Amino acid sequence: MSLRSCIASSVLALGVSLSASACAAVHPYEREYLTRPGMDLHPDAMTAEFEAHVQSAREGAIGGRNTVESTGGGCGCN
Amino acid sequence: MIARTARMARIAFLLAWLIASGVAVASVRADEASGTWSGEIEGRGNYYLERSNRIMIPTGRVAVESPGGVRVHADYLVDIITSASIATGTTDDKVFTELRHGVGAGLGKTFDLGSSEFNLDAYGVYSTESDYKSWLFGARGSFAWNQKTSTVSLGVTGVSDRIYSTRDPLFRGELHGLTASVGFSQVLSPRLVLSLGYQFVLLEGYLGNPYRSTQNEGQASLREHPPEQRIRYNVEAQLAWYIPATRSTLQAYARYYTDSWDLRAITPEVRFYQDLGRYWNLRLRFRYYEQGEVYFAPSSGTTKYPVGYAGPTTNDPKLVAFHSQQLGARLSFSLLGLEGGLLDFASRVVLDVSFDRQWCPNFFGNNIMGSLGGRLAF
Repeated sequence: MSLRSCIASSVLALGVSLSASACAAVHPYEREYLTRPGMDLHPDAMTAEFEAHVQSAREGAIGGRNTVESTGGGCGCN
Repeated sequence: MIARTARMARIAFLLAWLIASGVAVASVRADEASGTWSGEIEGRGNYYLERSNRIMIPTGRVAVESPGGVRVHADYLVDIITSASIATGTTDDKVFTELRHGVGAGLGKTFDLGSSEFNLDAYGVYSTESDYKSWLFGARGSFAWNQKTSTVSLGVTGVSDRIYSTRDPLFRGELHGLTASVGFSQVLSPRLVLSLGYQFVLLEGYLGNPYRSTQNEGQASLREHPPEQRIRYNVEAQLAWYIPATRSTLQAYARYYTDSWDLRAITPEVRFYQDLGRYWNLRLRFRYYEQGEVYFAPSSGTTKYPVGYAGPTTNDPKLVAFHSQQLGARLSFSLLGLEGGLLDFASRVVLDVSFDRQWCPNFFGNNIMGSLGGRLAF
């Protein structure tokens, strides 16, 4: 991916984001369902870190899901 | 170039240190006369098994938040690796066990601005084992507005690793990295949440494995030597939708990855959460992963390069094309039923057990992952 297409996709993502934020606000009394399991998009940090570590050792792609990046570590992992 | 990335990683460290110091000073000045402290203690055992490796990771974490919005956390893990070979991807077949210790800590603060909110966090992780030392520092900030239904986040992480070889005392490798990420999440309706993310990773230094070797046709084996720079990008989108009629949540996730080694990958995933009565919750998931190969991978079906080849080399099974499928289930159980009784303190405990199976047709083969853990909120 060139720097130009990288910037273009970032601008596009920002545009989509700002458009989405223009949606009508959800009031506090309407947020009961948002506390249900699965509605938190980044839960279980410890499990997510474990899975990210395994995946970074076994797959060529890394990143995403709000995990702290790890570049590798022993066991033939990097 | 490597020195420049190392400098940038140091800047990430400085940024994390400045934020941590700022948060510490702010917390000292904060008026904490009212309110209560809250927090969470979590213990977990993770297990991973494949054809030639077994990994057990007991881990623990403590997180505390003050009435003034200051968060502190610390965690520790030990990675017990039992492997058929020190070098994944070689034919050497001696069983060995190795330990990796990891310790992390972080400091953060929430600034409540009424209808909006600002969060700032700094964290560090140190990981050590006989042939790998790693330092990681990061800082993350997020701002929520629009009645806190729109959130934008920015993060930066610096990594500095030292790589050794237990077989070659003279080998020394260094790896420096910088990660920058931006994210956005939006509550679209009382039942729908959307999240978008973009991540950029720059790695420079020794990006191979000192135990893996490659060979030109008819020549002796040499340690693999991939390029010394790798730039990685990924974009992701995630949607969560709650269905009140069945008390279920459906999550859809997709990630596209590409890097300067010409490796591209897609990762769609679907998760389904189902309430089972008042205390139980079941999560099912399916994850698909598919990737291409790096531009310097040896020809398909071989591990050797042509006579006279002098470019970058690799014998890494995860740098060639493959795809995998993963199915998993997790069951969570809340002890809320103990509320008001003798064991009231335990009513805020949530226990969970999970099992995943991945079908992977490459060198590593199929694997299973398991996890057993509990969280106590106080």
